[in-house]
Amino acid sequence: MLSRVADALYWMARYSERTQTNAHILQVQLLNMLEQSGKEHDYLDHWEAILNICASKQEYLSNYTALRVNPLIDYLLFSTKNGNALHTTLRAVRENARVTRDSMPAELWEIQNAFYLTKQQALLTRKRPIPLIELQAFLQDIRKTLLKATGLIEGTMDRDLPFYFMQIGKWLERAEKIIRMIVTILAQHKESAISLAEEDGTFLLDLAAARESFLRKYRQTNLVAVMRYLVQDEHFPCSVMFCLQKIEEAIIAIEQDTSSVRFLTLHAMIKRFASTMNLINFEQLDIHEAIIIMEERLGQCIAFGDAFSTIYHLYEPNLQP
Amino acid sequence: MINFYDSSLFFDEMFEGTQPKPHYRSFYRKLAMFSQEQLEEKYRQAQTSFLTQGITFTVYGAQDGTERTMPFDCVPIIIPHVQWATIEAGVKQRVKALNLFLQDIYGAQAIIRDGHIPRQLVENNPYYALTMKGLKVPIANHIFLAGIDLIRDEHGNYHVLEDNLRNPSGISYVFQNRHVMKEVYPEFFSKHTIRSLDKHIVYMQKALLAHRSPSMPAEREPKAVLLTAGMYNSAYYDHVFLAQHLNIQLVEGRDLVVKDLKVYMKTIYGLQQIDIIYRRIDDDFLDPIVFREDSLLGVPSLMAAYQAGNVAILNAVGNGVADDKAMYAYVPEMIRYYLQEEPILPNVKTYHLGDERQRAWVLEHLQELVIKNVGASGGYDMLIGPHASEEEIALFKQKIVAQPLQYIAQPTIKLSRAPAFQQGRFYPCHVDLRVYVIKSDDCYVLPGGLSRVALQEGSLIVNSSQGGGAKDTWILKEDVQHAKSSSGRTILDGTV
Repeated sequence: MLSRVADALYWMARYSERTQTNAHILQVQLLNMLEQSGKEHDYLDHWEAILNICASKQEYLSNYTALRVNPLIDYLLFSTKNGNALHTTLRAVRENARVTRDSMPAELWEIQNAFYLTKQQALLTRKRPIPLIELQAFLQDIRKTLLKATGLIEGTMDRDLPFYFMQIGKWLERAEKIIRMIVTILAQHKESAISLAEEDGTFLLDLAAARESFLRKYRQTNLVAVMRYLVQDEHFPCSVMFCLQKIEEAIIAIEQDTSSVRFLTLHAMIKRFASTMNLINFEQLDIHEAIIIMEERLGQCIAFGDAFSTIYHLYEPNLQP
Repeated sequence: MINFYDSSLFFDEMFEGTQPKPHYRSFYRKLAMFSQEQLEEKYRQAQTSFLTQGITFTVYGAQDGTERTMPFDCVPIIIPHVQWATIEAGVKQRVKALNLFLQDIYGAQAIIRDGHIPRQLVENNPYYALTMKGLKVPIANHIFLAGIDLIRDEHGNYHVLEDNLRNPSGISYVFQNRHVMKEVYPEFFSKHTIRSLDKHIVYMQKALLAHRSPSMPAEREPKAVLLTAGMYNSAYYDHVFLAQHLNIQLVEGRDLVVKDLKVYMKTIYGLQQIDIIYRRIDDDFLDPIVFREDSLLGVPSLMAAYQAGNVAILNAVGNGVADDKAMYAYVPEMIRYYLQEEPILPNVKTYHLGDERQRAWVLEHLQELVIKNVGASGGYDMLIGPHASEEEIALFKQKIVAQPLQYIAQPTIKLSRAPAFQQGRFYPCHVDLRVYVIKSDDCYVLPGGLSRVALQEGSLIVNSSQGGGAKDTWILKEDVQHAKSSSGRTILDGTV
């Protein structure tokens, strides 16, 4: 497979995952917000967290004056200054699909293309501010379309190189996002006097779309229990451990020769990553230790992505045969 | 359903007076069964199908959304078997002669020596590639895919309007038009036995892989790629379609690299050598070392690898010298010279403006003639005398006087027409037909081709960049032009 094509498939999957999660996060907040007043701590805290998870608060504040709904929506959905605005990531999904359409099922391309050409373009031309109810419908549409795409990938794609490159993109993005959410939420509680075991973790559960699954198994929604679930649960498909397991499977499928340098390098990295994740004992950490550890894990996640891209020449292909 | 128009003004593909021609009768009956609403709904369905599949072309310089679908029209061009046989023989003959011509002018130049073509016309031609001189291309074939544009005059006779020997585009539309036609208008197909397109891509694949370079070990499977300029190119869909169906990698210049005079593509596992490049970028952009320095689309040192015989480039470099509008007039002569045959398909009469007498006559008769820039395509820099304003005529007068060799003149042919259904009504539009010839050791013609239609009423310009659309083209099978249910064979609507 061409390095350029592998790169595009990998990024298409990453952007698709990112779009889906960001759309979900926005949906959560647009609903939560209805019960909060603009001056409450929760309200501001939540928007701040969302900015840091989906984009960057600093960048936002350099372009807008205050945390207000309409500018926030504008920034997170449409702004060209935000490289992770939904409009931008959706376009990236479609453009990457466009250059790799000969490596994917025709229907997959058509779903993404149709969404881009109809719903997305239609929203762009709407007069702003767009009514919340329409925004909600749009966010729901995004998620449904991308879930349909995921179904097509799972159900119709050959288990071949293009499939596994997309898998690695998707699971790596998901793992990174979960860790990023945890780091952000922890940072917000930095000055808090109460311990992690007493902090409420429901907002984090909602952001990670984990509430339903979590509440089926546990009653306590304190931050420790929630973090443990999001990091270490082996069955929940958004947990970091689950993602790492899927990445390992994909590496094994891409590199059938388990003695190759490529395999050994990547496999060792992912194994080490998984075991450091597993070893975290959230009960015994105070908030500062937890932040440091999770920031380290975030670094590990990013380092794995870089190593993967370098090994498969996704950035600058090596000229040596 | 069809409001009749005066079909006597031009040759009409479908009608004779107010009646459909025999080979259009069954189609006409089917068409008449649809209501206006049904036809409009089907029209919308067809356009949506093209759009969501991303079968679009890019309009250069357009300000709004630059992706457009080529308007599709549901009335097919139907060609009876006997007529098609003549077309097929005619275009094969033409492509064979043109290939021999290319071989000759980059080799011994016998045709110039024998005085059949002026030397300056070849050597001063901007597309004449000195780098090709003396170069032996794989299987002595310069033309892998040719698109020969045909038109019909007021008597219905076919003429060749243009040869496209560089990068003829549009072949994917032939397949997709048929696909959409079958999907959206399945009813039209019953009672017809037409030549299917399904298996023909296999011939193309075989022809492509036949271009083995001489240095290739016999046991090695050739590795072929399609070189595209990328997704912003106007014909990108064509490239995607062909790469997919020919089962070859779609690559961009930046995916390739030349090392030790061999061409490699950059894969996730490192470099992999390739043997055949079906390129869809122009000569000028192929290799920044030899051609345009500023080209970002090409591959440095590609020409050196080509000259070393380590890679085949299809179509060959330098083909533009044979399909340019000035050389066009000499193609009948090439056929006589190389094949000792009379041309089966005639040319449109062409005046050379380098010749003083012809030029003087042309300058007097601009309002009756078509003037074309020999180097332009896509319907640009062109004057259609009968439709032009006085200012436009004056402008072309100046252009011709300043650069007489840059232009040719042709009589305005009364292009044939066929009905089209657009914006809720039927009206007659001028059409032409691009026939695709695939050549390796053998010549092979895709049955049908791309029927292009000038959808602006009265317009003669069929190019998609200027408001043209496309129609499906049906070649009726021999013998059973109108299958009857009494004949005992199964026809497409399932009745026996």
